[in-house]
Amino acid sequence: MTTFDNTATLAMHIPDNYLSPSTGLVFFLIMIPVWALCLKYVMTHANHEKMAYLGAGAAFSFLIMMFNVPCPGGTTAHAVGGSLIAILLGPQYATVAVSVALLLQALLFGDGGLITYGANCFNMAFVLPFVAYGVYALLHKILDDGWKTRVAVFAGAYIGLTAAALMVALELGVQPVLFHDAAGQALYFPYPMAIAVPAMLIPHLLMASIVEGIVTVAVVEFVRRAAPEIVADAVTERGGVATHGAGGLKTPVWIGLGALTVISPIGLLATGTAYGEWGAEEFKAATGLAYVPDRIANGFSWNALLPDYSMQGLPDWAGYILCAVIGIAVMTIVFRLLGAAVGGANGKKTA
Amino acid sequence: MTGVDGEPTSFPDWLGVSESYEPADDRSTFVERNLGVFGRTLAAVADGGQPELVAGPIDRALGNVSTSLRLLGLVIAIVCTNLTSNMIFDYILLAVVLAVLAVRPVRLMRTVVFAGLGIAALSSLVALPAIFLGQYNSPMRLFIRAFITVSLTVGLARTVPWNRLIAGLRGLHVPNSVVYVCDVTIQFIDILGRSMLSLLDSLSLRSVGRDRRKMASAGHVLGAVFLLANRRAREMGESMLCRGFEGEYRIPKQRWLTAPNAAYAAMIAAMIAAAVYFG
Amino acid sequence: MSTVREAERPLAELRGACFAYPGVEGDPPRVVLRDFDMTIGRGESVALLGPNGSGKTTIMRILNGLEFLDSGEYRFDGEAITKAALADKTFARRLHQRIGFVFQNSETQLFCPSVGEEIAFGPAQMGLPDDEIRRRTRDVLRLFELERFADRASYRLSGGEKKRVAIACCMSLNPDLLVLDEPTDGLDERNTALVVRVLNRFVAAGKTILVSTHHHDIVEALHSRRIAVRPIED
Repeated sequence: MTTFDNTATLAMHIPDNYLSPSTGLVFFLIMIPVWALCLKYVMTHANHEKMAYLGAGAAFSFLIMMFNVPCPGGTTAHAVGGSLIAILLGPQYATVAVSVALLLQALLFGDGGLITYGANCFNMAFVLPFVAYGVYALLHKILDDGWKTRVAVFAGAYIGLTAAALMVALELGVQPVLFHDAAGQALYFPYPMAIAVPAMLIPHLLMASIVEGIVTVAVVEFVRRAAPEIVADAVTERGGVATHGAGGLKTPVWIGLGALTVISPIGLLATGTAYGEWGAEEFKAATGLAYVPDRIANGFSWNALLPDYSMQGLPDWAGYILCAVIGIAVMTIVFRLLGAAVGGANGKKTA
Repeated sequence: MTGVDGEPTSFPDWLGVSESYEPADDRSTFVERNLGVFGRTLAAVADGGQPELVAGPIDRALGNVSTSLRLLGLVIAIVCTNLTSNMIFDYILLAVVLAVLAVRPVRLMRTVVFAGLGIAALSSLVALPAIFLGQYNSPMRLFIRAFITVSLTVGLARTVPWNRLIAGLRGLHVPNSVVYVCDVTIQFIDILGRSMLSLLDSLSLRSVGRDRRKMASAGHVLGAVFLLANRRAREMGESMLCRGFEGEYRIPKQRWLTAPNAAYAAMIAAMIAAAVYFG
Repeated sequence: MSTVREAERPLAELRGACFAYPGVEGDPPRVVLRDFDMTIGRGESVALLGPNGSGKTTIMRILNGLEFLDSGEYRFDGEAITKAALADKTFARRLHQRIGFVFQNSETQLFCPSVGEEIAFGPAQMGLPDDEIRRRTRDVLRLFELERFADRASYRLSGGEKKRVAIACCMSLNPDLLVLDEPTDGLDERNTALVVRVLNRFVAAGKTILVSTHHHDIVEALHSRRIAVRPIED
């Protein structure tokens, strides 16, 4: 099963329960017009093979997200690939392809949530490819020949993924502020902005975005050498950057750059406050060394982790029945799985 | 063709000698890991939610319910789990989920339990340090909720053939063309995934020494798969043309008003009522 | 035209056909066909034989209107098939209904959610009534012994089963000419025998087939007239 490969993808795929349903709904409402416009664009600008190309693109994006990229020290990491598809085929195409890939992952493989699907698409299928393509097209125009394509591709992928990671951090970080119960307990993602933003951004700036950038450069280089007409088409047809001046930059580039300009100040703001609050946290931690055990002594109440604490307000008998059902069911599952494992080891037929 | 220079008749002498070669140590596992991941994915695609292998009495009964309704029920269950602020509703739903799971066939049970526990453990692990921020409830809450949502999702994906599950999206007002692209995508995951497996296989067979340019090798594998995707997509497009594709895709209508659907809808309504009652 | 002449008129014919693929990156164009003549009569079974890269697939693509001749003439049932003619969508659809094309790679031919819908796809696109679609689907499923796969997704089939589905979904269009690129490539004996049996019955019913193959035993089994295709030497 893919469950054990989730550790790496979890960074970008927000699972269910991390966002409030209302946040999920907001991103669905944002994405519906985006999906409609991108789908319409792809359908009208492609030829009769559009359905097949969309399917192949979505499958490619699905496979890329699962592909283990080799990293220094024998470790591996994952790339998202949204920037690659945006650069090779265009950002609208990437939006549709990555969205379909994410849908199949969530629905069929249980990777990434269903009610967070809109948010995941916003981050990985909209912000990422459009920012990546915007940066790529702009640099491709500004830079001199020679290394320009490679630098533009790398920068596009690097900034695109980082922007997407920032969006994930902002969406998660806002949860504990907006959604908590009467006792101040977070209902969804528990960490505030001050932790979520650096926790997402630092590993991306130092590692994940670099991997994304290198993979994108490597694949674009390969495709350019093996089938030069595909990459050439991508630049001349869509960006218009090779032939036209700034006026030739078409809508996707402007959307991408617009998204980037909106995101950048938020990012600065967020990281700014992040470092500010970081200080406060560290201060608290330093002075509170004695203070935390004190709270534990004062009834920090490990009860909080136990079911009966949360079951206040339910009649006793109902609580017992509930516990009994859960207990019996768990025992049954454990014993049947054990039985199957033993049977499987003996004969490999019972399983 | 490159590499066919020189005299065609003379046979290179170094080909007649056996190679004395001691491979250098290479710690990279990326080829092996990818082989593992794509092998499992392809197995899952080939499985495609085979109901015939995992059908117990409950899944046979659920099989009569329309897939669109079950997808809707799944989304409502996840929303209910997320909207309630205390845990009573979560424990009730957990009890139902576990009780249903306990009577399901072992093969299905194993998949669902391991998938659910994996993601639930990860979720609560991420939330564990939050205890020091005073968020004592977070790890347990996320663990239970993640287990409920993942086991419901995986339980559905494993008991309904994927082509039916995707067709069920139409009932949730997903446009026809998107449903169609999803179908084509799974087909392509199979085609491209198998090509990727064979590329990785040949890479691992030829990687007899230390690969100093692993990133480049990885880029070549992905690049080759991208070009293959392009070529296969063109072929499929031509095949659609040859078979008279007119851009419209007819999918048979389904019946909504059936007894199993009504029973299922009643259960969903009861679940919503419980969620509202327990807040 | 008179009925007598119509019956004598060949179903498909290439006259003085020349075709070359454009060169990429300044390479010279690759010539595949030069002054090539071919006639396929009604109810005939014809086999294209030739080494790899000799242009068998190209000929089939030209017959199906996927490529167009640089010079020479291609007529299907007396009508010239050119790029201009196929720009007329109605004419193009009619041609695609009358010629079925089974690709060498059968998996890219399958794009529907289930085998049943795959076979019903052509008749449904033709706008046939629902019970006629059901009848044709049922008959073709039985013909290719695919009944038990009707609800199965095609990505869950084996290679031989996929090939059978690919041929079946072209046959449900009820074409006059069925073009098959290496139809028995990679099939085991049982699947090969089934395909040969169905194709022979298709020809016996008055329809026409054109196959490309490297295997002489297939040509024998299909009682085909041979057409040799030779690579162009530059």
